[in-house]
Amino acid sequence: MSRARQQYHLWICRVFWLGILCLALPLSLEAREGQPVEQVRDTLETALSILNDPALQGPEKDVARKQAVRKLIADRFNYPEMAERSLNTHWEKLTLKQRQEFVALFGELFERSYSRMVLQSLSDQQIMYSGESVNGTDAVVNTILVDQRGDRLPVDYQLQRRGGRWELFDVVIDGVSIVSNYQSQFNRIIQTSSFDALVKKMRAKQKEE
Amino acid sequence: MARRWSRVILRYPRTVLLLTSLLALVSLLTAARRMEIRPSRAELVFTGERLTQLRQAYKREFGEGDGIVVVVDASDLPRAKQFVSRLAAKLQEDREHIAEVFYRVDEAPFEAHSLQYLTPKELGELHSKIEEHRKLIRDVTTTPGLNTLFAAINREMGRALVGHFFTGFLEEKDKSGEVDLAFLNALLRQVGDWLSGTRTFASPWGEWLGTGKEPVSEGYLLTDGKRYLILLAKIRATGGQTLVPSRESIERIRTAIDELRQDYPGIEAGVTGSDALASDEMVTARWDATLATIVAILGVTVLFLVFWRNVLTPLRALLSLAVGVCWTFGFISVSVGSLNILTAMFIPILIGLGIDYNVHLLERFAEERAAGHDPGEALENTFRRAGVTTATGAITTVVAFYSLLLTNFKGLVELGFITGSGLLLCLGAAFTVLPALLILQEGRAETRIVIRSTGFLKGLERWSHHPRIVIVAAGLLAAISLPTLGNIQLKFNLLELQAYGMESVDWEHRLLAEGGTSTWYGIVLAQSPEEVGAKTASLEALPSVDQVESIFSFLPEKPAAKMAAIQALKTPLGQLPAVFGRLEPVDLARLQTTFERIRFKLGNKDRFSSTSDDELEEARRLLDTIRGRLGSSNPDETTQTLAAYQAELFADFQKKLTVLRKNLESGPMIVTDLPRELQDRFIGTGGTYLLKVFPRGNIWGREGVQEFVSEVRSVDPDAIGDPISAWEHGMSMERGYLQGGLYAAIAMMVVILLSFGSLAHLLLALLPLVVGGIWTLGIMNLFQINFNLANLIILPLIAGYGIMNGLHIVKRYQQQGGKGPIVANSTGRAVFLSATTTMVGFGSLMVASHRGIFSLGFLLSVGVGSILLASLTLLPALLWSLYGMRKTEAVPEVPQAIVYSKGSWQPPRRGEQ
Repeated sequence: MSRARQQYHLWICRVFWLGILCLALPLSLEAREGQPVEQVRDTLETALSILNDPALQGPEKDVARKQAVRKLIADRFNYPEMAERSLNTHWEKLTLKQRQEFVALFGELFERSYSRMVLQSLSDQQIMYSGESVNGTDAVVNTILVDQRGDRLPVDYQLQRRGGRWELFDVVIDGVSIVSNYQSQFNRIIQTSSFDALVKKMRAKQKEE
Repeated sequence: MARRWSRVILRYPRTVLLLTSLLALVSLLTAARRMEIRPSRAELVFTGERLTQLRQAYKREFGEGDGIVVVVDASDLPRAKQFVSRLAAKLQEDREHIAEVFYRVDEAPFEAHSLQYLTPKELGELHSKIEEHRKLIRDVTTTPGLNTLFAAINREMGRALVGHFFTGFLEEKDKSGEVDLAFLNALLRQVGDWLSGTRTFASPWGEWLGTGKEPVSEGYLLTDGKRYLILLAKIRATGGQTLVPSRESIERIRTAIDELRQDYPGIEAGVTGSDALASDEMVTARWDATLATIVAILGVTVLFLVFWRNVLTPLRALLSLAVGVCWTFGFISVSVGSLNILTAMFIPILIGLGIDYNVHLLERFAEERAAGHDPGEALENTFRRAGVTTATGAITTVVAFYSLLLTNFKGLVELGFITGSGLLLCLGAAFTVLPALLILQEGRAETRIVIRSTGFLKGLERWSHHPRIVIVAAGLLAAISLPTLGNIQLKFNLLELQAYGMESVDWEHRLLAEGGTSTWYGIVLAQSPEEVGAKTASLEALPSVDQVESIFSFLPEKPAAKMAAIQALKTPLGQLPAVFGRLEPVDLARLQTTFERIRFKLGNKDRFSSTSDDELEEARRLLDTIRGRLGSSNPDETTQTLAAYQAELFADFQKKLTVLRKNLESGPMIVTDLPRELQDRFIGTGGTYLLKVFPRGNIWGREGVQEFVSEVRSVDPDAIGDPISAWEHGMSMERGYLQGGLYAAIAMMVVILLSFGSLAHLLLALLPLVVGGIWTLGIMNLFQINFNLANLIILPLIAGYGIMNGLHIVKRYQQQGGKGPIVANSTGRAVFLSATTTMVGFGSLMVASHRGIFSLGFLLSVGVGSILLASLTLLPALLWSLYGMRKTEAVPEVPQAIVYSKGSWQPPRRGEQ
C-alpha cells in the first residue's frame, strides 16, 4: 500500500470518528437527561420521597415540606411555555415586560396549586406508568393513579424537550388539561374584563399566602 | 185538687194507664214518621243570621266545600304519587258515596309558562347552568344514552377538580369544585332502583335544569313542607236519618286506603277534614254514649235495688219516665219536627231529671203508707205534700230551660224548648202513670214497701245541730274555691275534646305540625282582581295569617318582568342541536370504567369544596352498590334493564328540553291559561273570586281563633269559613248560656218566691246551688277541667238539681212547721237517691274515650255531688241555726218495712168516698 493511500485511509477514519463523535455527543447528553418517562418518574418519586421524608413529617414541618415540593415543581415545569399556552392568542399582544411579569406570577400560582394537589393526592395513591409516546421534541407520558380501594384514574404528563432536557408543561387528569383549564378561564376574564383585571386577580391570590 | 186527682187515679188506674200508654204509642209512631235528624252544625244557628246568609251565598257560587282531606305521607314521593293517583281512580268509581275527587291539577297548561314561575335570580342561574353544562346537554342531545351522560358527568367532575385546584380564585364567587351531586345521586338512585327491580321512573331533569319548581309539583297537591300529598273529596250522605249521615262514605274511603296500602307497604295515609272530624267525633260519642248507658243502667239498677230492695218499685218509676220520654218524642215531631246534634242530648237530661220526680213521689208514698195511711190517703197526701213541691221544682226547672228561648242561638233555643216541654211531660207521667201503677200494685199479691235505714241521713241531721262547724267548713271550702274562678274558662279547641288516637284528629295534628297547615281556613270573597290584590295584601300583613290563596296565587309573579330573562335563554338553547339523536346502546364495560373514575374522584371531599358530606357519602354508597350489581348480575339482563331506563330518562329529557323551548314562545301567563278545575275552585259561577286565608300556627284554641277571626274581619267583616263559624257558634253558645242563665235565674227566683212567699226561704233554697256550684268550680280547677262546648250543655241540668234539692228540703221544713227531721226523712232520702242515681248515671260518661263526654260526666257528677253535699249539710245547718229545731217534739219513727197481703185493700168503687 502506497503512503498516499495509507494517508487517505487515515483521513477517512478520522472523519468517521469525528462523525461518530458528533453523533454520540448529543446522544450521550440525551442519555444523561433520561427519557420522558424517566423524567416524570423521577419528578413524582422525588415528590414522594419529600412527602415521606421522616425529617419533614409533622405539622411543624409543613412549611419546609411545601417548599421542597415547590422547588421540585419549579425545577421540572416549564412556566414560560405554560404561561404562553394558557394565554393563547392574548400572549402575542403583551409587551416583553408584561410577559415577564405574567410568567413570574403564573409560575408562583401554579407552583402553589400543583404542590397542593400533589401533597393531597400522592400520599395515598400509587402510580403506574402505562406508556410513553415521543413525537420530536414533544412527549406524552401516560400514568394511572390507583387509590387505596384499587380504583384507577388516568393522568397524562405532557413534556417538551428544551436544551436537551425534558420539561413538563401540562398535566391531563382524566381528559381534563390543566393548561386548557387556565386557557378557558383566562380567556373568559380577558374577554369580559381585561388582561389587567386578570393580573389583578392573580396578584390578589398571590398575596393570600 | 190533690184529693180529686188521687180519686181519679184510685178509680180508674187501668184507664189512666191505657190512655197514657196509647198516647205514648201514638207519640212513638208519629216520631217515627215525622221526626227528622239534622246533623249539620249549620242547624244550630238561625237561617236569618248574617253568617248563615253569607255561607249560603258562598255555596251558591262555589258549591259544598271539600269535607274530606286524605293525607298521604310523601317521604317517598314517586310512590306516594302513584298511591294518590290509584286512590283517586278507585274513589271516582264509587259514585254512590263520592261526589268529587280532586288530587292533581292538569300540568299541561303550566308547561309552556313554567319558566315564568322562576325568580329572576333562578332564571339567571338557569341561564348559567345551561351555559355551564352546554357540552353535556349537547352530548346527550346528539347521542342520548347512559354512557354519554355519565361520561359527561365524569368530565364535568374532572373539570371541577382541576378548577378547584388551579383557577378557583378567578371565579366571581368561588364556584370551583362545585359538582351537582344532587343530580348525580338522583340518577344513581334511579339506576340502583331499576337494577334492583323497582322500575319506577322519577325525572331528575326538572330540578337540574331549574324547571322543577312547577306551582303544584307535577300537578299533585303537596303541603308547603312537601311532607304530605293531599287528596280532597266531597262525599255524599247516604246515612239518611242519622246523626252521622256521611259515615258510610268516609268508611269507604278508609277501606280503599287500607286495600291500596297492601300494594304500597310503608305508605302512610289517613283521612281528616271537617266531615271526617265531625263524623269521627259523632261515632266516638255515640259509642261512648252506648257504653255509658249500659254502665249507667246497671249502676242505677243496682242503686235502686240496694235502696228499695225490690225490682218492681224502680220499674214503676222507670215505666213512668219511659212514657214521659215517648210523649216528648211525639211532641217534638209535631212542634219542632227535628233533632240536631245539640237537641239530641235531651234524652239523658230527661232521664236524669225526670226520674227524680218519680223518686220523690215514690218515697213520699212509701212514707205515707208506712205512717199507716191507706193507699188513697197516702196518694192524696203524696200529691198534696211531695207532689206540690215536685211540681214546683219541675216547673222552676222548666222555666229555666224555657229561658233559653230568649237567646239568639238556635241550638239552645230548641234545646230549651224541647227539654223544658219534655220535663213537663215527664212530670205529667209522674202524676198519672206512676200513681196508677202504685194503685194497681196495691191490689195485687203481697206488696212490700221497704223503708231503708235513714242512719246516714240521721248522721247528717245530727251534724246540722252543730251549725257553726258545718257553716265554717262549708265557707272555708267555698273560700278556697272562689279564687280559682278566674282559672276556669270556656275552651274552644274541638280537637281537645276528641278521643286520643282518633284517625282524623291524628292526621289534623300532623298537618298542623307540618307548619301551621290546617284543614281549617277562612274564606274571603272579592268581586274583582283588584279587590283580590288589595285584600290579599291586607290579609297577608296580618300576624295571624300565614298565607292567602286565590286564583292569582297560581299565576307567576310579575311575568312580564321576566320575559327578557326568558328570551335571553334563546342564545344558549339555540346553540343546541334542534334534532335529538338516536338512543345509543348501553355499553356495560364503558359504564363500569366511567363509574370507577367517578368513584375515584369522590374519594376525597377536599376536591369538591361545596358538596355536603351527606351527598358525597350517598354518592359513594350508591356507586359502590351499583358497581357491585353490575359486576355480579347477568350482563344481558342488566343491559336490557338499563336500556329500558335510559329510554324513559331520555324521553323525559327531550320533553323537558321541548318545554324549555316552548317557554321561549309563550307570552305572560294569565288566569284563563290556568287549568279549568282551578278556575272553578277559585272563581264562582257568578264571577266572584275566592280567597282562602290560612292561619299561622294552631287556631283550634280560643286565643288563636279569636285573634285570627278578629284580624280577618278587620279586613273583611263578611269573612266566613270553619274558624269563623266555630268562633261564632262558640260565642253564641257562651252568650246563650250566660243570657239563658241570667233569665233562668230570674225566672226561677220568681217561681220559688211565689211558692214560698218568703225571701229568706228563697235564698235558703238557692243556697245549695250557689255553694255547691262554687265547690264544683274549685274541684274543676283542681282536676284542670274547663268548660267546653261539650260539657256546657249540662249546666241547666245541674242548676235544675240544685233548685230541686233546695226547694224540697226547705219546703218540707216549711210544711212541717219546723218540726221533725230536716233531711232524715223521705224528702232527704229522695234528694239523696235522685242525686246519687244521677251521679251514677252521668258519672258513667267518664268511661268515654271522647274527652268532651268525659268532661261532661265529670262535671255533672262533681256538680250534683257538691250540690247534694251542700243540700244535706249546709242547708239543714242553716235552717237549724236560723230557726232552731223544736227538740221537745220527737222525730216520728217509721217502720222499716210494711207488708200488705192481697185483699187487704181494694180500690174504691165508683160513687164511694
